[in-house]
Amino acid sequence: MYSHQHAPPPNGSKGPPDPENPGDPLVSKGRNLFFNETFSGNGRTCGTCHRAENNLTIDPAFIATLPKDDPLFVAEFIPALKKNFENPKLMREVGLILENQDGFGDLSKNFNMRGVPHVFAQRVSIDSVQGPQTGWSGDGAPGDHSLRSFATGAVIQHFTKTTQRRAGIDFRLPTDKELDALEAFQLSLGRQKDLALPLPLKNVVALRGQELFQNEGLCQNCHANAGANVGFDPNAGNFNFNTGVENLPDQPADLIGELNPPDDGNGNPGSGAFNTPSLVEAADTPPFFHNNSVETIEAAVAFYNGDSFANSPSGKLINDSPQGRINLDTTQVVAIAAFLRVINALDNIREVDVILKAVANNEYLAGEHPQDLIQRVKFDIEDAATVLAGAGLHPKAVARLNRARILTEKAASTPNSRINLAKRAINTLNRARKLITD
Amino acid sequence: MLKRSVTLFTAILFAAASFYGHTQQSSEIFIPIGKSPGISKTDTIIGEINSIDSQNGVITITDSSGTFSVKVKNDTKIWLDKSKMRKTNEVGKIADCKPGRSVEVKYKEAEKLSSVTAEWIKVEVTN
Repeated sequence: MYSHQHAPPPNGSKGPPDPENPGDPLVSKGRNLFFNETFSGNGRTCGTCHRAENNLTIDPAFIATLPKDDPLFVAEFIPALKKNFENPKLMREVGLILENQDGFGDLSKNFNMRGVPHVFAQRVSIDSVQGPQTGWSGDGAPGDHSLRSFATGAVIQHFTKTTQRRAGIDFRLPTDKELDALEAFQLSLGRQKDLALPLPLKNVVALRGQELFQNEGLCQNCHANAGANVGFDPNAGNFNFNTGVENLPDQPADLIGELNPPDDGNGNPGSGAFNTPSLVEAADTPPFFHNNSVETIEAAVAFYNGDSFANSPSGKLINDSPQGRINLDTTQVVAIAAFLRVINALDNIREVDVILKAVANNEYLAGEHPQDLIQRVKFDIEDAATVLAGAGLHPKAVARLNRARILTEKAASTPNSRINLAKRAINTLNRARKLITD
Repeated sequence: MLKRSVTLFTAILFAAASFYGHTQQSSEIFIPIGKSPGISKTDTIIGEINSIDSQNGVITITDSSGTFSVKVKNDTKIWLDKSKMRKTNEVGKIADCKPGRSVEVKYKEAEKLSSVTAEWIKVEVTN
């Protein structure tokens, strides 16, 4: 879900929202560009891979629901893109997208396959003393390397009609005003500030997981407050680390047998480092890591117990420190994952609360009409319930979340009752939240 | 004890991570002269090549504000902007920096000086 940009209440607040006042116009324009603008290319938009109904990302299960003429699959139906543009098998089976981040010289060999990261909480995930960090290896943007410029690189990489990539022929470049709007929209997505750990969690396993996260697990060092910034210097921001993910054995993409060149991460030649993602949004946005190598949040935590991490540059630093090699037992892995599941559910509830309040007040949100807003909140409520139920956490809260989802579905199908049903859903969500945290 | 070891570890980690920087923004090659987002005209020099000294790796270029000496290093990327020919842009070399050609130079310095070092150079090719 996205955006915290409220429009002032429309006249009377009970009637239809004022179409002349659809919220922050720049964010609204950016949202429209993000989901609808093809930049005269192959038909893809930013929203082709960053789907509104799937946490602004894609995964194999979601991809399987798409029609065969979806623009995601342009390599399957546009002849000029059949070679060296995507690998349809790795896209459909592992959710991987082809990137030429080390250059476009030999397209048949010089590429990497990477997952699609969600684009939530970018306001608190990109800035760094090293400069803005964008994309899986922190170096995704041309120009001034900013989030604003990232869209230009994405159009060139993913929107082109042919692999010749001629500006003005195979695509058009975004204008300065379009880049401004796209940046404003992306910055509006998800959390606008970091959590302040520790949280007063009510589930004992998640609570223990939070302790481990902040202490023995060492997670806090690179994911301060479960976000994307390092924990040892509040001004340092977001960093890239070589954690050895690329060296994991038996990665799904390798087992499939397609050409999948090693990914050297940040730089050219690469340092092997990849960007640190935020963890608050992790539990409902699998698969994990830049290569979609593991499917569950428990497996992602367990990675730091394994040899691939221990033998990596980052792992060796820990091995050589007084703390020694990370050695979490199964119950501790599950506890940290439970913590990540709970904070993810709470973040979904927070987002839904923002949206439902706009609906209850009959307000636009980032240019979206309340009727459109109410149509899509069910996805976040489902996510909150699913991430909790997936580990047997907070069954009573899950029941209330399911009730809130039913209320929002009723609100979506009965516009005359939309405001009252949204208010009831807010109350139900609040009860669910109080079962999870004080 | 645990807190102290964590602090020590993080200090080392910070030092290790700090060495990583931006070196790769591969799609830049396809952006025509003057269109690079956030830097064209503010952090670049757009002008015409006056002369080239291949042996010493120096070109001189002129824009509306004056003449600039541009050092071309081993890590300087040179790209041929063929967009006016409706062709694909390509990787070039210093010999492609021929007098009379239009160029855009992204300099490494924090400001536009009379002598700069090029991070990348885009050379317009029209025939």
